[in-house]
Amino acid sequence: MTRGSAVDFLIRAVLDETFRDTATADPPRAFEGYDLNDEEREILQNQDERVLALLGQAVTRGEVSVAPSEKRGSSNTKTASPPVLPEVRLLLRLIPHVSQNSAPGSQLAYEASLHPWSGDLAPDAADGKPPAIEWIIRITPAVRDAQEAGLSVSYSASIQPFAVGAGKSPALAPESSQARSSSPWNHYVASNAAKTAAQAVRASDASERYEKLLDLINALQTGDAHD
Amino acid sequence: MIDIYIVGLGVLNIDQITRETERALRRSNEVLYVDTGVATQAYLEGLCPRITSLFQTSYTESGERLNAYHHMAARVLDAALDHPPVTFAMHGHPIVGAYAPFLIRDLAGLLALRVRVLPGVSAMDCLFAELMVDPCVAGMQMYEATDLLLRRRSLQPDVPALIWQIGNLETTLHTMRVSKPERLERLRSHLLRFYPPRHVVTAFYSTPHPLMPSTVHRFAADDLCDYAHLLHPGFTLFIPAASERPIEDFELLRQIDSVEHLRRITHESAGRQSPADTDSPRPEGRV
Repeated sequence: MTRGSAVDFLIRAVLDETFRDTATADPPRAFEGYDLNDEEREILQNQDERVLALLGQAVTRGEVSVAPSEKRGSSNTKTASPPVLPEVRLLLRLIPHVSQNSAPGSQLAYEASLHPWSGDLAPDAADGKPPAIEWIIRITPAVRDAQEAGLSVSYSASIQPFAVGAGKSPALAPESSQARSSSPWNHYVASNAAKTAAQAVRASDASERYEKLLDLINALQTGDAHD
Repeated sequence: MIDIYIVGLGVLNIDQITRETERALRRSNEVLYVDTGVATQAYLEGLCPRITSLFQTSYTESGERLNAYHHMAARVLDAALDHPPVTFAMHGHPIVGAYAPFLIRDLAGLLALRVRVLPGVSAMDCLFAELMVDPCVAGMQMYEATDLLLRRRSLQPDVPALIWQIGNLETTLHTMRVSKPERLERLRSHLLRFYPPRHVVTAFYSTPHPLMPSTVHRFAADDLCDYAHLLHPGFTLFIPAASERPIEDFELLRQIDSVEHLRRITHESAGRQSPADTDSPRPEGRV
């Protein structure tokens, strides 16, 4: 087993409180098992502002994102990402029916239907039907563990009204009266350029989505004036 | 159901992460983060199966910081569209001195993704604690250093001031280079319009590591340029009040200790909800 570096020492001092206490109370004991030069020992013993220089060296060398695997344990399982399951989106449509019967007044009933929803326009209702009440149901799987025996998956679900308006998307509808966002950065969230770019993002596949998102950022910042 | 959590990791490496942030991290399918804490990645790997550092791929020496923010936002949205929920985790407080979260929030709105922002411990919180500053005593004015100069904002010398990002002064570009004294000359001149030259100010850098103390430099405002080489981008300048504003409303001064006045300005029954409580929008979801 290789001896740890000064960076390994600093990482462990963050993650392991017992070791941190030892490093503060009895630094020479904490140094055992670490390959430190005289300057590093002196800095880590004094624990003064020069520690920042050691941290800075780690950032410059990119070591902050490559912690020693023997300290973390299951290093191999961390590098392979588990499969990502797609979100399921459904459109729930309720069409009201008013019927008369022998009892006084009328009776209201609903015809319910469930449709796959891709995130764009809602599927057309049948002609002649009254206005429907529409809700979007989102079922999002999250892979908790991926082993040879199988996946451990949890699901979360949400339901929200389907907005009628620009793009027929839940988040696109209410912005028309305000061209800019409420943030101090004044993004053109309701510009045609931004809406068009957002649709292009949604229509893109994974290989081109990043570039489409950069186009959307540009549209958000410049609005329609620079189309 | 949240698609994107935007969270702050605090300043002191992992010790200042809140429990609600930790829950968000555990719930995420990917955590994309911008934090140079030495143990951040090792810590995050214990909570989430997919960890992506955006620091190295975002910043380039002498490159536009704006481009770095665009890259961060695009990467986070890309991940959120592919495998939600994801977390975008930043050093400190995610909304303080950071543009990418605003961009992500507005992009998410256009893409029908839901965002929740969770607060983090900022450099300001650390400064309050270590320098024992209570902003309720004499108030607090705070400005970003370059913006202070661009707009030639006035400073009230009777109100403590907090000047953010003095180490990033006078540039929109990213750099790790050490500042020259000239870099701080314009700021020094601006401060001396409002403060006496020998008024003592404090440059404060909150420690990012438990084995290191915070860095505190106290010096006269007139000597600011002499400290240029020490003031890296992590420093905040705290300027205590140079004078005290006298009380002008003596009628109110008499009333604040008066039971009769208290009864005049309050209802008889206790425990009423304030309008702020009743009107506040409820959070979209619990983490």
